[in-house]
Amino acid sequence: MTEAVRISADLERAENRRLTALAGAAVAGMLVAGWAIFVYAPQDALQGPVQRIFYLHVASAVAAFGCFAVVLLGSVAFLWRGSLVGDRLGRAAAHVGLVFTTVTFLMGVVWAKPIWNWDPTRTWDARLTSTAALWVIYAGYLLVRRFAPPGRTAMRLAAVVGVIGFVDVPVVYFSVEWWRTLHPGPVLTASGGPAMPAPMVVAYLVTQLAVGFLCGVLVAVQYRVQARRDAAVARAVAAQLELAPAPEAR
Amino acid sequence: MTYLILGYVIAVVILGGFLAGSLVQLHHRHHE
Repeated sequence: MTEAVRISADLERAENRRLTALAGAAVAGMLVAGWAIFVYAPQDALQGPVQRIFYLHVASAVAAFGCFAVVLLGSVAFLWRGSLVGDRLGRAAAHVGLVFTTVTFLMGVVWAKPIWNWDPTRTWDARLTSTAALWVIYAGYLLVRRFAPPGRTAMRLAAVVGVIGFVDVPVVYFSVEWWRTLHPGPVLTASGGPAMPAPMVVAYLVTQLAVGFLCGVLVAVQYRVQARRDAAVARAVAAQLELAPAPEAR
Repeated sequence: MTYLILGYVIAVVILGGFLAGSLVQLHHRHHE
């Protein structure tokens, strides 16, 4: 092993250790959020215990929106300047955003059942439908990256999906005001201030901070994983080129 | 209470699984 390769491997190990430590801190943050949700926050007088789904449901939705904003910025950076960092950042954030969208979606469905005895196959809801569309758009973004032959064409196609797909984010956000179906309207951003007691707002903010930190760590880890994948693809392409006969020998 | 537990179990499985999977990928690929 040459000195340069050894130093590079050492740096990589140090970076991995740093990310693993940050992941540990994120888990600790989520435990604090758990305390805020289940111990600190008061019981809702109308809905009872199930209202506590609110804290992670909303925090996950905000995290997902943040991730898709990063996908948008990364995609614009790639389309505008050909930034490979932007492409990789978009890919990392799309993975994490999809996970948080899944959490938001499933927690919402579970919450809706006891409160409205809601059956999604019978009653149309604008927030649910637009969120499902959001999930499909970013799953499509990742499928393009996974199955299209690696290269600039796949990057460009995914970046276009990353830009156009973001249009659905404000649609999801405003769906409760535009269509007024089952999903309740804004609680935290209601006109006249949050429509809930201060301890509930504090519990939400603690959860949002913890989820935001976890989200950032997940994007950083995924970025690193994607960078390795890119390096492996580049090595494979270089190996193929070395195996191929030189033009003058053909 | 059942729905509350179900909601958080789903969240913990998804987020915990993704975090664990990402860390495994991070460390596994190092040895390639």
